[in-house]
Order: sequence, then structure tokens, then C-alpha cells
Amino acid sequence: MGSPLKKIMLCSSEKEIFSVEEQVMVQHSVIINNMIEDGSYNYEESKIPLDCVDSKTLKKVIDYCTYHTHHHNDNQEDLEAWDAQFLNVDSNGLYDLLMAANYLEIRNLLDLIYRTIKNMIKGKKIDEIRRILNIKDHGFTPEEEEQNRKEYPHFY
Amino acid sequence: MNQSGEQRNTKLIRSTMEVIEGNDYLLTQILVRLPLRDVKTFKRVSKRWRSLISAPYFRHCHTTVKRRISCLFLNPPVNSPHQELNFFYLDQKTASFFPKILDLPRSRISQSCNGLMLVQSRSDTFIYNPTTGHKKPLPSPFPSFDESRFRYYYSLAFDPLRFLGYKLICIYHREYSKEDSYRTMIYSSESGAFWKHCGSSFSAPINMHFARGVYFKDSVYWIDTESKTTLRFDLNEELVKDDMPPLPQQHHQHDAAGYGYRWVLAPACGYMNSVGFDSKYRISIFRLKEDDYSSRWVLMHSVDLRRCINLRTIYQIIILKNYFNLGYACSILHLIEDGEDEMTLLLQIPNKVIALRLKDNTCDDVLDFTRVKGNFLRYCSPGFKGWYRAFGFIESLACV
Repeated sequence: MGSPLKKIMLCSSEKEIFSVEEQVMVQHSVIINNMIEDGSYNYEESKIPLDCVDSKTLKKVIDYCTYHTHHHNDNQEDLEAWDAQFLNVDSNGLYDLLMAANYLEIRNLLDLIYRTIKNMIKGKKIDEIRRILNIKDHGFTPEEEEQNRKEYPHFY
Repeated sequence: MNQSGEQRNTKLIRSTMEVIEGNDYLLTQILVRLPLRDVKTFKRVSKRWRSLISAPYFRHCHTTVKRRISCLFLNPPVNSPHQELNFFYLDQKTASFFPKILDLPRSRISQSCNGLMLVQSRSDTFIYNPTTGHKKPLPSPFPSFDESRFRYYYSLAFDPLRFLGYKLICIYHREYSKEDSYRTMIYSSESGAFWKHCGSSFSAPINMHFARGVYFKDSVYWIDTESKTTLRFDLNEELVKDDMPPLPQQHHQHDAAGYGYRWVLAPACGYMNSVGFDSKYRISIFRLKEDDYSSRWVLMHSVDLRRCINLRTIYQIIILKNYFNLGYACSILHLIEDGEDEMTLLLQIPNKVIALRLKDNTCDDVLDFTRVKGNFLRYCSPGFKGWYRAFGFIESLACV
């Protein structure tokens, strides 16, 4: 664990440098925590290259980590409202965010995105799922599909 | 997540979903977070979904997602004529899990651990998964001709995030023996079907509750509520250790310690916690904090039951009970995690189970025995017919 005032440098795919409180990233990203812990980060010279994360996404990720570091004592409802607002990005942005969270191993953020998507399909009928996800080819033979529909009409 | 936020995101997330749907890894990550009721339905979305859900990898991922306790099993007291298992939800609104109730007469849960349970029937002990309904009798650690010479207690350790399969610990000692020395055997579902001796013999306080093990982070813990001592079995070193700090002493001595569960161990929020009556009306919650050199119990909450407005009725009952010298009217059922680092205490009072949120000391009724018509539950009120025990449960696809 580093001291709260230390800063580390993150470098996006566009080679833009972001300076972040070490504590913020260490607390949230498993990868960065490991880098700091094993001493492979040099405070004088190193910057952490994140070649698959663009500046826009990296800024969002840093926002998320910063907010959750400083507001972890807030009540649950406020945090959830903030999270919902935070995820209000365009669809490419959400996918990029998911990829970045996955790359940096930011478990809270990953879980937030997974949960948000999970809530979209939770309790839905099969026909709705196919429509939401635009699944055209379900792969069942017409007989199998008919059999399923007959057997479990309430699922569809 | 609030409703408006969710709706706003809906459209945006749909197109992301299409991308994710095309990725086996990401889709699995989403599906393992769904209630199993949905998972069952979604097997029919497409052939690809069906094969993902049926894959061993799905089962593996499912066990690695952190879940909260949303439902509890309730065990009637030992001396009750009704020994069936029953269960209730913490919040009816989120009820999505319908456990398969074990079809064994007079069976009782003795431990619940991350989705698997240890269940005792009249003649056997079982590993039981209420999600899948699968059960398996434990292999006996003793040759059958030898069994009656021992008293023995089983504990269960199941923690898919830390080790494969489940482990069983058997603590035994010779019956009618003058020595108070206990021995330990361990069984691992991964390494084959036999018990092996481990550690050396040890002595334990006379009231050490070996029948009620509590698993937490590579150890199984037992408590003696009389002497306020705890022991643990370390699964890594495979031996019983007596290295826990003593439980904090009560401020006041009180009588009738035999009534109800007055001190319990409960892991929650990433720590081992102990909950107990400090005095007649005060319940204290301690947390075991550890650093490299030592561990100590730190007081987290102290609740005066009389101060909780909803509990005023209990207070009256307590007075009444005292008048008739029937002991206490409140028993500690469980301590569970209910949100980010928040805990809820489940208490049994006459005719009810209540949830006391420690964050703000507010109470809710979660189970009203008087409303359970035609059910055995209504006959049991604490103190009179004995005390229930509660076991938290989470969904799991683990094999038994």
C-alpha cells in the first residue's frame, strides 16, 4: 500500500498521460496493485502503458476509481444512483469500459457492468431475450423448438 | 440501481449486449449472475446458450461469483417433536430461490457453508445441496464394529474461491474414557474416499460446541459459550489450534446461561464476528481483527434491545418471563451481511423472527410464526419449547 499522496502515471493508447493518486488505482485495479507491490513501477520515470485503453475510456475508469475511493462511506442508494449515471454512456463506450475494466482487473467496475447487463435480461421470457439480443438463429430444429414451446409455454 | 437510470441505459446497453452475446466468456459472466430459475429457462434461448450453461466452466464460474444470503433455513429445537427443515426469505420481494427440501424424516441441519449443508438424519449424516437437491451420505470414519465406542462430531468446509471440492473434519473422543483428549480426522472430496488422521490429540473445554462448526477462511471454528473460548481447525496445516484471543468478557454476570443461543460466531463482511448477550438487554457484536502479529476482538456494535422502539414488546415479554423465571425471551439466530460492509442481526422472539439492521438499529419482522397456519412453526415459542437455529443459504451448483 502506498501513501495517499503519491501519484502514478497512466498512458492511454493515444499516448496521453494521466496522473492519478496511487491509492485510487491500487485499491481498485488488481494489475496496478501487483505492479506497485512487486516494485516494477518506478516513481521517477515509469508510466504504465495501457495500449488497449483509449483516453476517453481511461478518463472514465479513473473517474470511477476516484469517486469510489473517496465516497465508499456514502450510503448505498447514493452510490447506486452515481453508478447508474456513470454508466450512461454510448454503447461503444460501455463495451470499451468493460474491456478496460477487464484488462485492468477492476472487479467492482466489472461487476457493476455485468450486473447492469444481467438486470436487463433477468426474469425475461425467451422471445424477449432473442429480441433484445437480436438472436436470429437459435440453432434448434423446428421440431425441437416446437417441442420446447409446447412443453414450457410459460418460458416463451 | 434506480429505475430511471436503468431505463436510460436500456437502449445503449442493448447494442453492447449484441457484442457480448457473441463472446462466450463475457456471456458466461453475465449468465452466472442470474438467478438459477432464469438460467434454467435460458437454456432454451439457443443451442449455443444451452451448451454454455451446461459446460463445466459455467458451474465453475457460478461458484466464484459472490452471493449474499437471501434465504435462511430454520431448524426447530432438538426437543421439538417436529424436526422438519423449513426456510424463509429475508425479503419476500427478492424471493427467487426455491430450495429442494430434503426428503428425510427427522433430519436436521448442523452446518451450512457456501451453498452446501451438513444434514443429520436419525442414522446418517449427509452432504446436501438444496439448490440441486443432491445428497450423499458421509463415509464413516470408523470401522462399523468400532463406531459405538466413540463420540464424534462433523464439520464442513466448502469454499470454492479457496480450494477445490469440500472437506470434512471429524472430531472424536472415546466414550466413557477418563481422558478428555480429542482426536481429528479429515476427509477431502477431491483426494479420494477415505478419512485420514491428522494433528495430535488435544484437550478442549467441556462445553466446546463441536457439533456446531463455523467455517471461515481456511479454518473451522468452534465456541464454548460458557468458558468464552474458541478453537479452530486450520485446513492448511491440518491441525486444531488454540490461538484465538479470548472472547471479551461480559460487563455483568447473568444467570440462566443455558437458555437460548447466547453467543454465536458468524463470518460477515470479510471478517469473523462474534455476537452475544452482554447483559440481559444488551447484545454486543465483536469483529476479529488480525495483523501479522496478533488478533483481537474489536467491538463493532452494542445494541440495547430496549432502545429499539420496535422491540418494546420484547421488553415487556422479558419482564413477564423473568417473573415466571423462564429465562430469556430472545435468542440470537444469525448475523449476516446485508450490504457493503453492513450487518443484520436475526433474532428470535416469541412468535417471530426479526431482522435488526445494525447500521441504524431498525427492525423488521421477517417471519411471523402465528401466520404460518397449520405449520409446526407456530407451536414453538422461545424459552418454552426451545430455540431455533438458522442457517444462511446461497445458490450453488456444486457437486456433493
